[in-house]
Amino acid sequence: MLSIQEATIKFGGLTAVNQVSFNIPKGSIFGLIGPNGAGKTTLFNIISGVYAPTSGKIVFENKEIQGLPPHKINYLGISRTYQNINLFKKMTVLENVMVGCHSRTCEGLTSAILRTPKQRLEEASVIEKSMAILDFMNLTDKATQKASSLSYGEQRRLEISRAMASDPKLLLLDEPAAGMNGREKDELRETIQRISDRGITVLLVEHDMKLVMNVTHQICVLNYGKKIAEGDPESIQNHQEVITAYLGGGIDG
Amino acid sequence: MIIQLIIGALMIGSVYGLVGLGYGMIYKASGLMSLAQGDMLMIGAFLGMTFYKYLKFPFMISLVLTMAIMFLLGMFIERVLVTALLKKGAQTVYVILCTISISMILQNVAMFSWGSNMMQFPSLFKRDTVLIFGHKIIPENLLALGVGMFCMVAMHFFMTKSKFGTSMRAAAQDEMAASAMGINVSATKGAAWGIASMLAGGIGVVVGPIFGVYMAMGAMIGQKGFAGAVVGGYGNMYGAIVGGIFFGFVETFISAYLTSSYKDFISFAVLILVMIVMPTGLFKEQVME
Amino acid sequence: MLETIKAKRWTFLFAILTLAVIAFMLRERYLSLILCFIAINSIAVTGLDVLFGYTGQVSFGHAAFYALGAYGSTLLSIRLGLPPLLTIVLGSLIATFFGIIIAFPASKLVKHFLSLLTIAFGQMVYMFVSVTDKLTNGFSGIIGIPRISMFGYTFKSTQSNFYLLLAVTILVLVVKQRIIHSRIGRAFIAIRENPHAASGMGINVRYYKIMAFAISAFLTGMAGAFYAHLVTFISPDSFMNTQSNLFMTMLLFGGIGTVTGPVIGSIILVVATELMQSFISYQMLIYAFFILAILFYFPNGIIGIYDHLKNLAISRKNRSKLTPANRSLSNQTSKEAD
Repeated sequence: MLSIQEATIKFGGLTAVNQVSFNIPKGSIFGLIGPNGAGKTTLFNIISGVYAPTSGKIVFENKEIQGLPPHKINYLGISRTYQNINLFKKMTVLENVMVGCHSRTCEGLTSAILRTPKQRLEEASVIEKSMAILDFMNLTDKATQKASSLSYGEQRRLEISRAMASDPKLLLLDEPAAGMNGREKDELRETIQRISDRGITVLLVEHDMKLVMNVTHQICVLNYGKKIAEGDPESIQNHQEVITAYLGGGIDG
Repeated sequence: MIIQLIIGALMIGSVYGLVGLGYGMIYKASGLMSLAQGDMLMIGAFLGMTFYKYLKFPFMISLVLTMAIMFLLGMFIERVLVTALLKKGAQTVYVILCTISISMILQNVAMFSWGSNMMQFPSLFKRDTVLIFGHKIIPENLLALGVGMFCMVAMHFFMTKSKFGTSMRAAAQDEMAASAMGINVSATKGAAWGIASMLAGGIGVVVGPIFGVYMAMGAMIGQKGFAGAVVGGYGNMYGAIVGGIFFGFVETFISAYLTSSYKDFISFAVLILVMIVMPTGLFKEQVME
Repeated sequence: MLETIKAKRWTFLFAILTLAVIAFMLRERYLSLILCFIAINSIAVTGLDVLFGYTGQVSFGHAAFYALGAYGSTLLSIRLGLPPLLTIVLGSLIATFFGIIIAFPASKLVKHFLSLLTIAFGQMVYMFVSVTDKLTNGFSGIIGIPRISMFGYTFKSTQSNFYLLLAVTILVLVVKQRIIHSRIGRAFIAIRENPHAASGMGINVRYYKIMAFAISAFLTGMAGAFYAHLVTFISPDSFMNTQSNLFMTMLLFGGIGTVTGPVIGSIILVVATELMQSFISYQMLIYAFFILAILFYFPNGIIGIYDHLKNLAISRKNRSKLTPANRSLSNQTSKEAD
């Protein structure tokens, strides 16, 4: 579904991502791991359109998407969450998710002002769809609360809900487990599995090894911007270079 | 004729440059914009005039005294008002609005203290014009130019060679690191605002004899100084000077050869054009999100 | 249930009171004029709110659009003899046109530079109308601007103008309400809250920023046009940067990002200006203190204070329903909020 081909990005003298290539099969849960500073989030930013790579290609469903602006990439079917929570704080939980529906709706300014029947229908369906997603993510009872009033774990779930609202074919999750406790991480693993069961391909950047090993089908490991390993969880766990990259000895989890 | 124009352009250019330098300094130190620089110039002019004309102090004393007072004023505004606002978590736009209201207060205070009419700053020299290389030049213009140049050079040396100046630059680049090095970051911020006001007030004193002293004199100059800072690269000290002189020349020569009523309009048009085409300015500073 | 009945009763009383005050003021020409100014400023500040309150783009030069609408409509009706109702629309479109032009560079700039750009633009428009004598009569201004007429009826008296303005203001507020509670409004707020995430959610930030500028310019331009045809005389003096600052003050005072905020801000500041006529020399000082008061004590404006009091009342009521056992739990959760 997504093919990263020799993606490279240089910031001044620093090469943050160096000729990375891998393929994400459709319907899989794919993990991207590596020590801090390995270039994972930078690669995410390249895929989601925040940065254009210096060279290389990103091919999504046979279409080259590198260099496209983020909103176009969202329209094409890739959605993401962020490492730091990037919610619309002053909006309610429901409104946050409704914003996510933007690229799948089309009523413009005139129809909004005139409240045409078509527009009212669309608004109703947006609300319905958003509530359904909140239901899926167990946030229904928080729908009318301000996003800023949620607990940390709930906010992370809201980010995922919002990202799902655009009916993505590929969902990028940027360290979704950060700051979560054990129970929340178990719930997250379940959630990712349920998302995958819905047919959405998932690309996951994570530091929590237990979570990654338990939920992903395939993993790619980066270190200093370069790919050092790719394969299924078991082979990665026993991969010598990966173990040394994480400071020799056991991988934390 | 062209020599007078060049001197005039350099003179007004260095006024814009100093005002713009102040803006840049505030931006580099606090990451904020103050829209009150022009009014600092105006208050400086009034103060200088009061010392020189009414209290009969010698000119140099008036100038130095004014600059000292303006420094304290600038520092006060930063330490008391701006810091208090920032503590409340105000965004930059609100701080800008705060400086706008300070500007309004300063103008009103000036009006109460000195009246709303234009006042005369007595000439500093006994002669109306001097002859330099056969050209008639108004000595006040030369003085303004001289003071301007002197201040710019002094600032250069202060910022690069003195201990406090270097601390200011360090704090401007990275507050946490500077603070870890033992630099008093709040002092550098207060000093930055203080210096900005001091420079504006000082140059106000020397242009008083040229333009007269009145409540609204700072507004246009402040905006052009701002424009110069943007063109030169906002925040960059040398850029502000170059930008200010650039606008000095644009304005003077357009006034002389094309049309004097549209000169301000054209200056702003140039500014907007620069903001569209080259917003990072000549010396390439960060302006976009 | 009891609460909504109570709330409705208060709103009803408030509405009756407002209507009574308005009816009283309409008996007198001077007071009617004040009402007209309140309406016009409400429209203008609503325009500013769409830009600043909803997409977070600051404008310290909004008087430019006010001027473009006023001068545009005036010149078209006097020079070309077109009916005022048409020229008001055309004047607003002229303002919109310039709004879109300035939006292109503006949508790329950071807060500070946006402030400077808008100030510069405001100054340019002011300078243009004051200097271009042949077109605008410069500082002498333009007199004899025709009153608005519709289907043969001319709005001559101040009172009749107020009814017209009231209708337009209500229309504008309804339109604003509809825009806010739509896909477009959500896009605007998303851009204000987090442009990065908005982009990631499929919102073309640039496009919507420009749209906000266009809507904002249209509304404020329209207010300017109505102003011209109401007072039948305009001069550059009404369109200086003080006017831009006044619009900002009204907006912040009333409360940004709300439908009623601009109206409240207009009411308070128009009334204050009239009361200050005898202290005209202190005027700037008083405005400055208004601004400082908002910045330091209630940055969310009057609406913010109202919301704050409402929340306090609600939490106090909830707390009184608690037994000692679950009281501490509630304290914990209310600390998490906000």
